[in-house]
Amino acid sequence: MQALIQMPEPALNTVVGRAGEAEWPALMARYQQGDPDAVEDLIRCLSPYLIRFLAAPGLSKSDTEDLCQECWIRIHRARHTYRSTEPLLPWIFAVARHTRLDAYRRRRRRESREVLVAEPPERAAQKAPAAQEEQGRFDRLLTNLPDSQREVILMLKVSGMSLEEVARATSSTVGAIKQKAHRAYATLRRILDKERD
Amino acid sequence: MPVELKTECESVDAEFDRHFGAPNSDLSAHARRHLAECETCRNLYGWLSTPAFPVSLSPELNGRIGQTLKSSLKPVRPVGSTRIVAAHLFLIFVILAAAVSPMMGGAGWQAMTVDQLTGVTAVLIAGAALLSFSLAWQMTPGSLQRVPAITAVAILAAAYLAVEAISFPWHAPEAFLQMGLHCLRYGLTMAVPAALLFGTLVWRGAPLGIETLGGTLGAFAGLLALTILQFNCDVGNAIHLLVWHGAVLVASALAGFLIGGAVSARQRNRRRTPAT
Repeated sequence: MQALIQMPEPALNTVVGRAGEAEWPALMARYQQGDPDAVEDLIRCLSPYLIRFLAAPGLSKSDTEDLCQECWIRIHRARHTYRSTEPLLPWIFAVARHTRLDAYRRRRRRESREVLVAEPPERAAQKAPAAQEEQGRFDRLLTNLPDSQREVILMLKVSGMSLEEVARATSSTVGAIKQKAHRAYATLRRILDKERD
Repeated sequence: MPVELKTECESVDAEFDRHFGAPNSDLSAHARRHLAECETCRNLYGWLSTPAFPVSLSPELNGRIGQTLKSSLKPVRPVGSTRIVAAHLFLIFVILAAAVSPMMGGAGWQAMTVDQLTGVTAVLIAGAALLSFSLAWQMTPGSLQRVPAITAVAILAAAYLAVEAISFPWHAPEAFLQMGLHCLRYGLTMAVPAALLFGTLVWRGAPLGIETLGGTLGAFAGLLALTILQFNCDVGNAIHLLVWHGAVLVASALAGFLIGGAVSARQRNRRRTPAT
């Protein structure tokens, strides 16, 4: 029976393909030394991860890009605290996580002051290509998770980080991250079952 | 889902955990068998294994971010390792405590028995070491915090209260309020400059959770004030020590937390400024 099961490939950890990851700490070290080429390389390598992580339900593309820019400014200001002997992604995501949290609080405060005077116009219907559809499904599944679980799944699945790296990025413990991930798996199982039915 | 099946599914969850961040590892035979039998888990595994869609970044955004950062690009010196930063903080704590205590007479030192002195000193030193590490972890984003900051402060407070309650006699206190307020005022007066000094050192990092950092910093400064107070107060009464000396620690930590919260809110609401 086992042979009949089509196991998705590649394995979990390779879904992201952190290309050139081994060079990131060296790039960061060059950035700390003031090398402008290293800045560009880092932005090119890491921004896709950041955009993915910073995107939130209800946030437009331009808002997400603004947030990404803000995140890079914070990374720039904190760059002296990175040590090249440590993994880079937890350091980057710790900064990104706080950028996201602060933006969320700002947005909440702003929304609480605003009064809706008219319904916003509906967006023009777009013919979604398959990739966009799949992307939409991915986002929809994640939307059903509480924020704390969503960020853990995003870091694990999208950024391919290990449990320890996620614990570092969230100033938490490996046990707590494991617990959040397992709760998220349980919710995702329910949603995927519903989708199938 | 039946209970037995649920337990089986949970065992696959552990398998998923093992896979994240471990390149080229395969599923165990047990997990493969379970996936073959359980469609729900197979669906989840399929979803988790699907490559995430790449996000394309517009060249304009790339260029804009690059320009912003490069306009203020200067070489920076990386901070020292966690151990070195923690050792610096701890050393400053010990030097200040050792320098200021004798200047104030050391009446408490002479009033304590050897057992009391040993117990109290051990707690104060262990607490200072723990908080030094906690501050060093919080200064650097992405540090693995082996003891969460709130737990560190709680451990310190509990250990201090326990050692005072066990080692010192419980008498009806004389001039409880008057002497107590004197100690509290004295302690808080010392905690303020200590907090400013440690704050200057910690601010050289890039702390993210400023409320928590403020609380830890307050507790660290309060602990220094408490140490000096302990060796200079000759009231060897458990009630006095628990209420008034303990209050220095609690009030400092609380004040630090509130100030940290205010600083954090101010930073959040401030408009984004160009990188410096």
